[in-house]
Amino acid sequence: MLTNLLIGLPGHRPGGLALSLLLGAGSAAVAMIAGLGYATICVALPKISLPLQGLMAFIRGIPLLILVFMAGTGTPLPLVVAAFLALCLYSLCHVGEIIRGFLGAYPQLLRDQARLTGISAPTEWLILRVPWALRRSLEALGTHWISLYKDTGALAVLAIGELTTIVQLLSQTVSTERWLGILATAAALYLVASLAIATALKLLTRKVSI
Amino acid sequence: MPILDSRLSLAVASTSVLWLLSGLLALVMGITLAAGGTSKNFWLRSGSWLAINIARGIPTSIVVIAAGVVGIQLTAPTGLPSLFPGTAPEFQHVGLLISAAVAAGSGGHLAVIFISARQTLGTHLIAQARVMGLSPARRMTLLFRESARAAMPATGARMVHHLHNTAFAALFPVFELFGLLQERITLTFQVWEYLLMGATLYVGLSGLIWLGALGIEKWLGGGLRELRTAFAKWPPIGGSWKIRAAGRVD
Repeated sequence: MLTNLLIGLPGHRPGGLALSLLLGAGSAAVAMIAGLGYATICVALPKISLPLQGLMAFIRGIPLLILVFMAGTGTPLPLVVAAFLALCLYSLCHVGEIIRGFLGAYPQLLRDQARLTGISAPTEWLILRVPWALRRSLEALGTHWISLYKDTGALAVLAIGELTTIVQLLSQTVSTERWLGILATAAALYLVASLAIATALKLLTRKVSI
Repeated sequence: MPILDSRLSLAVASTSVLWLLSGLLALVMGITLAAGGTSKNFWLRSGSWLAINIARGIPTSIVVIAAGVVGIQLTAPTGLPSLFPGTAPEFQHVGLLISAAVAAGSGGHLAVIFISARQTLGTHLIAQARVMGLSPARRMTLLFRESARAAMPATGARMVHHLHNTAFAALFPVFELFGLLQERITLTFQVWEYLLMGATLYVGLSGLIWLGALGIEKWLGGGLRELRTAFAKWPPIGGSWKIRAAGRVD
């Protein structure tokens, strides 16, 4: 049972906790890259990007379950790809705003100093402003990443073989007593993984935050 | 089948009831855990933080599934009020259990929000409230009111997330918006029509929550100013208290 929860059912691997972590980490990475692009556009062109910001705010108001369901049933993509893209979009809506806030808060004094030392605007953005914003926003990003990892459970609505789906599938084949055992094990796995991510993020924050 | 009908408004009403009931439970849970988490008693503090970490570390989906399955195994208790419109009387108790599960999913997060907001008051202000000789309950009420404004933005955001979590009730025979959307899509194959309508409804409800939180925040802003004045008029230890209470000097 534990193996199934950890790496998925035979013939459908990777699944279970491994798939939850892969989907969470993958979507977080994609959303970070896209979020940097979004935040840059919003900071560089605040007025022109208002419709884009409005769209992001609208998507942020949609439950992840609906986004996943929308991607799975409303597009011809394979379910795993559709669910992954839904997770990316969901994460982008939150990450983009976090980075936008911190990029926008970059001190004018530091910008002036960079200009005085002859650093061009794109170079300043790349080597000074983005690292500054990322280091400052690490705590907020970390909270979102933990939440995103836990939210991968919403993929159960498309029966993708991550941890929550495996729990549901296993539960249909066993008695109630054993089912509660499966559920408790899955809860413990989620908890341990969340605490491990939180600890790793705490160490990272301590090391790189300003 | 028309897209807009009376069952849709019933689903919105049921989702609202689910949100309200579980939201109130989550707030009570959050306040209790926050009080325990800032207690001077080691065992109470440790127990509260353990509960907070467990509540935050386990996904709401898992807690809802557990509550739903346990609820379905139980015989429906007699005399339960029919709180969830559209849900069969024999599953009203499942709705209640799912409300508690959704509340448990948010209770830990709210507790951390409240504890963080309390810390924004500064150690001096907290210590000063202690030396004023107020009873623990009164001191806690005072500090809670003082820190409520700082807590409101994050609380509002969490309550929006909380609304989204109510959709997990669709996994069980508890009537609510996401379940109705799933049912309609399966019956009619009008996927995008129903999904866009559902998304718009959820965005509308989220917007209402956000506006409500913003309103409370603004209202508390006024209240805070009054509180500061009241504080300043009641100095047990002289002028320095006035300066610290009014200026938040830490």
